[in-house]
Amino acid sequence: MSQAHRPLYEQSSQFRNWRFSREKLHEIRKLTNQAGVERAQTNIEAEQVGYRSNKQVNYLSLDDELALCHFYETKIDTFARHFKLPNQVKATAIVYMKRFFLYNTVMDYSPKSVMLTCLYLASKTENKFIQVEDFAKPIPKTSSQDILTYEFVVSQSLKFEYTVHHPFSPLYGFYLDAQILNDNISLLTQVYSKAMDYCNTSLYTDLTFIYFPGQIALACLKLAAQDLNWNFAGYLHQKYSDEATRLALEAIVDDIIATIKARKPVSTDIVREVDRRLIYCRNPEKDPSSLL
Amino acid sequence: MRVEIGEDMNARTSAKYRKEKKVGEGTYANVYQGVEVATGRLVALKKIKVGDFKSGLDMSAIREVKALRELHHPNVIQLIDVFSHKTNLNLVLEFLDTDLEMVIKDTDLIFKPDDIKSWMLMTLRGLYHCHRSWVLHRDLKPNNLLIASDGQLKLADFGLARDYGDATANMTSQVVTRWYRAPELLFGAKKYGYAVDMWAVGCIFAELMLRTPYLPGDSDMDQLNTMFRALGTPTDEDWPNHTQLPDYVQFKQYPRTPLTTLFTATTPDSIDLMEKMLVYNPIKRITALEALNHPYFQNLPRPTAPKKLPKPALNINEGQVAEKRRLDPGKSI
Repeated sequence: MSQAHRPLYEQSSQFRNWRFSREKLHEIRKLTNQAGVERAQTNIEAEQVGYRSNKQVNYLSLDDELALCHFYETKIDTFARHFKLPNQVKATAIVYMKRFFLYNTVMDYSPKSVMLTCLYLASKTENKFIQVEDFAKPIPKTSSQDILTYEFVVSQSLKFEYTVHHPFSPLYGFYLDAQILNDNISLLTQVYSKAMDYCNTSLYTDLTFIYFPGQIALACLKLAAQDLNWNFAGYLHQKYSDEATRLALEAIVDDIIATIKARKPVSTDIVREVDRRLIYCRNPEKDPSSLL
Repeated sequence: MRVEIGEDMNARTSAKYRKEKKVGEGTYANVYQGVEVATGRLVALKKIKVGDFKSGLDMSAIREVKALRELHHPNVIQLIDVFSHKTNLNLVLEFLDTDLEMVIKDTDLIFKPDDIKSWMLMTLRGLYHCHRSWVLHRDLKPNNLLIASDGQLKLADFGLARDYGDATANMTSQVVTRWYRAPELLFGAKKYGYAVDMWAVGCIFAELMLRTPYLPGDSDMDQLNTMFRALGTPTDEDWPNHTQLPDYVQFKQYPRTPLTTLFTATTPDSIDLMEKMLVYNPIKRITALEALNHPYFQNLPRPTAPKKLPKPALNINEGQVAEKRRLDPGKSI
């Protein structure tokens, strides 16, 4: 059985179904957006049959959609803190949302509702279950039913693959490992904590789709090491004596670092503008108040 | 290339299978026999009634789907597909003829030591795969070890399974069917690990030899009493600090009787492995990998080839076998 000799990670759903090149990722999103615009357009026009409407609908572009999703991804953190949910739940919810909007568009599904459902679902899949009433209660204009309505839709789009691998565990592994090779544990602990912050930032990028969790963790360790003057190169040298491996790894790590450094929060002005436009280009087929 | 939205993907998956007849009824799911239309392959459709749960998808369903989506091994049941229909969640699983409980209870069957070794080997291989994938099964018992038509044994029913990776995380101790429940769980431990599954395997090993459950307690309290009467009450030396566990109660000090007095007809290497699985201190209990490397699996006799293992006489209608089992779990067929 040749499968038994491959790394265990390659059996994971994350490796099999949620790993793309940057180009492929862009292509999928582009197609999702185009198909979404066409669906919304067809249905909006059908809804207007018999009416005379001069309304010029300005559909959302891929960049508009990404800006909106990005904004709601950062909101997950706020809600997770409110419910005192562990970081793992937050991280999983963010990845669920990213995976969902890879094959769906905000013109079909309200990103705010999907965001809440992703967090609720992640609280279950990460064993920190909250009763749905308790979850919905503090959220304005949201009922238990609103949270549950999308649970199947979200699960379907996740292909019912609930396991997500984050960089946190490998980072912890590097932290433990480096303790054997380093005597300054106090500095190392600061580096670890700083690297954790970078891992959290990485959640808001596309890195989860592109690299292995261990590679992202290593890049975060390097970023933190640069900030705090820790000898990262020395650690890498001790771990990987083979130069070719080290060079290959460093190229990956540097690409990840560039991505994390380039991440900036989306401006609220843009979000507000896109959100206003979204009202007019929602697919009426998915809108319960529609005439369709 | 075209992209497919979740709902369409779901509809396409759903159309791949045809449900035929009900073969079992459980507390949270009904099981149907079905076929994959394109290939004619038999499948089991486990239909979970989500509509009954006011909190949406229930934890058992989530746990089962989450674990099985990641596990791919000849000794773990294969989850072929998942789809939802109205308010039901449907798991498409490989169709398996029977389970180890039915085999044990079938008095027409005679087990040779090589047969027991084969079932133990397959159980441990499947379990080791779960453990190295960071999954705790938490409900191992003969009834959850299903057997395929080619004799392969497969771990099934992952409704209590969860991923394990943080030794400091609190978990519920209300897991595993009582007779197979490890002593640390009975004493209410909230932090535990893979050792709980190994205790259950030890009980299954004993049951395969005795052809009757080894530690059949009537209540949680009686379970501990039954266990201590059979294996001796643990001392602080056997299991340091166990008296600090949340639900600890003091028991009569039963002496430890050697397992050879009950398991008379068996070899020293099998007794040694069973003893190592039934060690009170979970830290000292043998792991799945250590068990696979135990001399028992290297010594003769060689484990029986799965195809040649004893099986209940084939019913013309396999579905009825399972149905009978569900409705009358106490009786053999």
